[in-house]
Parts: sequence; C-alpha cells; structure tokens
Amino acid sequence: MLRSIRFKLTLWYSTIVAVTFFVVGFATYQFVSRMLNASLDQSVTNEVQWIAAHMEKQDERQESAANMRDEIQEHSRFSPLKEYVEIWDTAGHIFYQSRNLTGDTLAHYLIAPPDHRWLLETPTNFRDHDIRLAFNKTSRASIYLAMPTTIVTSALSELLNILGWMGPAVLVLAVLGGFFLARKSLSKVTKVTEAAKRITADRLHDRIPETAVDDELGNLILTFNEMISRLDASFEQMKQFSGDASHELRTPLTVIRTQLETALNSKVSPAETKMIIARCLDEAIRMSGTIENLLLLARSDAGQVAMKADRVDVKELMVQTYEESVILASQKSITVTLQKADPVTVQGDEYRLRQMLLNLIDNAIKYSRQKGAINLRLVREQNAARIIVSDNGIGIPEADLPRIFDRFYRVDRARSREMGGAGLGLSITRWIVEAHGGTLSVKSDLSVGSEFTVTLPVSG
Amino acid sequence: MTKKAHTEEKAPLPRPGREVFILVVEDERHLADSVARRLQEEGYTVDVCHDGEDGYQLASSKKYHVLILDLLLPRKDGMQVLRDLRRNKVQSMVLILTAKSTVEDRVDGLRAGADDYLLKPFAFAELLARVETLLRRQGVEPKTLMQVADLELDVESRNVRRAGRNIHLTAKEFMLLELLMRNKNRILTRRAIAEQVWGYTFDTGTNVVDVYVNYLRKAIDEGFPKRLVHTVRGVGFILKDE
Ligand SMILES: Nc1ncnc2c1ncn2[C@@H]1O[C@H](COP(=O)(O)OP(=O)(O)OP(=O)(O)O)[C@@H](O)[C@H]1O
Ligand SMILES: [Mg+2]
Repeated sequence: MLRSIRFKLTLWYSTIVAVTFFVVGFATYQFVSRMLNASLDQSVTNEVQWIAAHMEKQDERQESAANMRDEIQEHSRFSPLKEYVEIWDTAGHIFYQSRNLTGDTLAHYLIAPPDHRWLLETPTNFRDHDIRLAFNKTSRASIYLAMPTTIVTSALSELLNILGWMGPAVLVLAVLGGFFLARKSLSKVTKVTEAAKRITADRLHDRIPETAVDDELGNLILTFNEMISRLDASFEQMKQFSGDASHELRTPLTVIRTQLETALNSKVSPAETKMIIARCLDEAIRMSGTIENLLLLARSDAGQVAMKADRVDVKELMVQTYEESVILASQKSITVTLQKADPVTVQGDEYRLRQMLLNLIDNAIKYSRQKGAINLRLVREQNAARIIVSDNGIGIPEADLPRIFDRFYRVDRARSREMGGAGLGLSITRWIVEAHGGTLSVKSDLSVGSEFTVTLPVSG
Repeated sequence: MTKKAHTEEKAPLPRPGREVFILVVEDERHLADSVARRLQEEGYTVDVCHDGEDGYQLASSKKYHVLILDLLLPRKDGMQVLRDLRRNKVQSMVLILTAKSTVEDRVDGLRAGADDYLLKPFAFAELLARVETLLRRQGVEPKTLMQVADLELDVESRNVRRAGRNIHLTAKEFMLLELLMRNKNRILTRRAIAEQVWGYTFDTGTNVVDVYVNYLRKAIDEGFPKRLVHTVRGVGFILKDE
C-alpha cells in the first residue's frame, strides 16, 4: 500500500500543495506587513509635515501661540489614528504637548542627534504599546509626533491567525484531493491491467479497449495493443509453421505405417514385401529431406547457421551445376542450356550457393512438362552478379506469386506433393540469397514459364 | 448372403445382410491401395479414386455406405467435395482421413458434414473399427461377431466364447483380444499393441503387453489342444488359425 503509485502521488501532491501554501502565506505576510508599516509611516510623516507647514504659515500671519496650539489640537482630533504630538521651540521649551501624553515626554524616547532634520523610529519602552515616532527639526521648532503601531500589529496577527487555521485545512484538502485525483487517473490504469491480464497465449486476438483520448494512457494502450498484435502475428506464424511441419511429416509417415502394417500380413509374398520395403525406404528418404530442410530453416531463424565468406568463382559454380542439371533434366527429356556465363566472383559460401542454384533448377525441372527447356544465365553487371534460371514450364498464377517464398507454400499442394516437394525449397533459397546480401525475384506467366533472378553483390 | 471381395484369393468373410460399398478418395496412391486392400480383406466392396473431382462424381453417382476422404486433393479440395455432396443430399457416412491435425481443421470437417475424423498416421485396426461404427449408425449391421478357429468374440455384446464355452475377460484383456482378432493372421508388434490398447506411445509399456498376453493365453488357450496366440520371436504376437 505504502509503495503504491496512488500513495506516492498523494504524498507528492500534498507536499507540493503544502509547500506552495507555506511560501505564498509567508510572502503575503511579508507583503502585508511591509504595506501596513509603510502606510503608518506615511501617516506619521504627513502629520508632521502638516504641523511644520502650519507653523510656518502661522509665523507669516503673526498668529498668537495660543491660537496655533488650538489649531494643532483641533487637527489631531480629526486624525483617524490616535496621535501623540510634542513640539519644542528653539529655546528648548515645550511649546505644545497633546493631552494624551500626560506627563510623558516624547523627546525622552528619541535622542535626536543635533544635525538631523528627519528621524523615524520605533522606541520600545513607551507605555504598554509600541509607537511609531517621527521627529522633524525646522527652523522654528522640533516636532515629535507618534502613532501607536497597534493597528499594524493587530492586523498582522489577524492575518497570521487566518493563515494558521487555513494551513491544516488546505493540507487536509490537498491529501483528499490528491488521493482522489490519483485514484481517478489510476482507475484507468487498473482497467488496463485487468484487460491485459485477460490476454493470454491463446487469447491473443483480444485487445485492450482503446480510448479516444490522446493522452499518455491512451498512448500506452495503443502501444500495448500494437505489441500484442505483433505477438499475435508471430504466434499465428508459429502455429502455422508447426501445423504445416506436422502435416508434412505425417504424410510420409502414414504411407510408411500402412505399408508396413500390410507387410506384416502373413500372406504377403516375399516379392511384394521387397516392394513395400523399397517404398518405405523412399518415403523415409523423402522425410529425411523435409526434416533436413526444416532444421536448416529453424537454425537459420535462430542465427545458428554459419555462412562462410570465401571467394567463390560463380562462373565455375554455374558450369558445374549446369553439367549436373543436364543429367537431372534428361529423365524428363528437358534440354538445359547455359546461355551465358560471365567470369565473376562473389564473397560467400560455395556450398550454400550451390544449394540455392540446385533448388531453382530442381523447381524448373519439376514444374516443366516433358521435353521442356531450361535456360541458365550468369551476367556480370557493374556491382552485381545476376543469375537467371528460366523455364517454359507450367508457370505460376499471379495470385500465388507473392506467396511462393513462404514456408510450405505450394501452388498445387497435391501435385507438388506427388513430386516430392514440401514447399521449403524457395524459402531456403531466399534465405541463402539474403544472407549473401542479395535479392531474389520472380517473373512468371501461367503455362508459359517462369524466370527466377538472383542478384548477388560483387566484392571489389 | 455373403459378399464377395475384390481380391479373389481371399475367402470372403461371413457378413450378414447386403453388400457394403466403400469409396476411398486419396491422392497418395500407395496409401489408397493399401487401405482398399485391407478393407477388401474385411469383406467390403471398395472403389478407389485419386482426386477430388473423380471422388465427387463417383460418390454422387453410386450409393456408398462409407466414404473415406482425404482433404488435400488435386482438382477439388476434400472439404469442397464434402460440402457439395451434402448439398446434393448424398447421405453416405463420411470419414475424413487427413494429416491436418489442428482442432480447427477437425471442427471445420465435422461442421461441413463429416461423421468422423481420423488423423494420419493411423492404425488399420482403428480405421476398421471406425468404419464399423459408421456402418452401424447407417443401419447396416456389420459383422459384430469375429471368429478365429473356435474362438468367438462379439464386439457388441462383448461376449467371448471358445468352443461354445463362455470366457470372462477384463476390459483390457478384451481390448487386447479384439485387436488381435481384428488383425488375425497378422503380426502385431509390442509397441503397436501398447499404442492401440493402452494409448502408450513411449518406450515403457511394452512390458505390460507381455504380461497381458500371458493373462490372455491363460484365459483363452489353456485347456485347449490348439494354441491360437503365438509369439513371433523378436517381433511381437500373432493370433492365427492356420
Ligand atoms: N519454376 C517454377 N515453375 C512453376 N512453379 C514453381 C516454380 N518454382 C516454384 N514453383 C511453385 O512454387 C512452389 C514453392 O516452391 P518450393 O521450391 O518452395 O517448394 P517445392 O518445390 O514444392 O518443394 P521443395 O522445394 O521443398 O522440395 C512450388 O510448389 C510450385 O508450386
Ligand atoms: Mg522446390
């Protein structure tokens, strides 16, 4: 629980909210305190200036001292804040003192240096409350004026109070909100988890319901579904492969089994027994071929087949295979011609290249009629060696062309089987060509003929 | 009353009722031939063809009791043959005999109207037993009574008698005897017996066969002048009357 993302998210969320609240609260407090103090200072200064200005005017008008005291007192009465006023004349006598000072002398709280005209201070020992005290020395008098700071301090303590109880409230809200938010956004994740759990090896067709929203989770689901699709495809391929492989092996096995069961009949003649044994041997050999090819493909998938990188004289190889194929083709009275053989060498595995060529020639013979013609060409091009095997055989329907390189794919499964093919020859051929960095392509017209072209890169 | 097999030299087996016709559609010629031959030995009348189109034509033109049908056929796919036959209300029982091994293939086959599905490779005894079951479902009474010399075994009532005396066998002993009788005069290897009676396909299990053959000998051969169960040294066992 404590390690769950929901808990962590809540913790993070609340911490961030708490820190934000603290910082904002602190800044607010500082700002308000500065504002209030400044405005108190402003009030105090204004009052002092008023008195100073008034005294100057009074001098010009030659008003009496008593009159002026009255005016100052009158003015103080309308001041929104309680104010203490004390005025000394140049002779060092108190000219005016507000009544609320009763016995106190403001000058005692501020030892003004002689050369200062203006001073603003907060003496600490005045009665039971703090005051803000201003001093102004004019040519006529020294003016002391003070206002209590209570207005500022009480406002600030009020603010502190508010912040004080808001803090925990905000924190509680943050925890709840964070928990709720985390749960809300994680509930989708939970749903995805549950959907993903339902998808198993045999239910790979299922997908997680995709949301329309293009958010992180939507993307995650999309990515996940794509991954499942790929898995699905490779599983399907694997199933197909093992299904095909088992089919390919079951067929010769069935012949062997039924033939041998027949032979075990006590009434089968020795001559017939020999024939049965020969048939079984044929099937066994055919089966070994299929297994050999299957194993080769499986090992090539696993990258376990080492390809040599020798210099291979392709012309020499071509001539040898040509001579071999003449014999192979004679059984069906097919003529093989080697129309062109440019001298060319490539880097590669001679054994595999021969296997590749023989696969193509084997097909050309198998899928040609009696008395057909097969043509072999080796053409040297700029950076490539082109090997072309063409026949005038039965051809391949256009619809089947893209699939003939697939494993086990045969255009006519029944007929090919009769001729011994498992449909692996071209898969192996393509693998060999690609392992040499080359390409394999095919052109074919039904009942006209086929042409397979191998293009291999030429070293140097 | 009895029916004449195509193979002339074989003595036709006693079979009550009508002649039974079976069509084998299988493109692998050797396989088709050996299946046909074996069925003929059992007293059935068998026709063989090697592609789907021929199979379809034959099956629609003549009334066969059972069709043994491969799926991968030249000219016309086996599944298509089956569908077309069913569409034309051909009622023959169809046994699909194929190397296609997935559950989906089996389901597809049965859905298309097949009555049974046997996977290649198979044992002849298994094929024969399936064919008999299909014939029974068709109302054709195949012989349920098998006979070797004076030993009789009734597949339906599960009665075993020798020289008119009832013999009691356990279930496995009965299966073993049935297998031996179905293959009368044919050698059965230990492994073939283990596979078909016990379903073992692994190496152990052949010892079980020896033990059970001995039980069976005690039950059916002891006290009779003529032994029916024989050991073929180094090969297996045979039940024979000659
Ligand atoms: N030259 C060709 N002319 C006509 N069809 C061809 C030719 N080459 C290949 N094909 C078709 O492509 C299919 C695949 O060929 P591939 O060589 O992979 O298998 P195969 O020859 O049937 O069996 P295998 O080569 O494994 O013995 C063949 O079954 C055939 O239908
Ligand atoms: Mg081939």
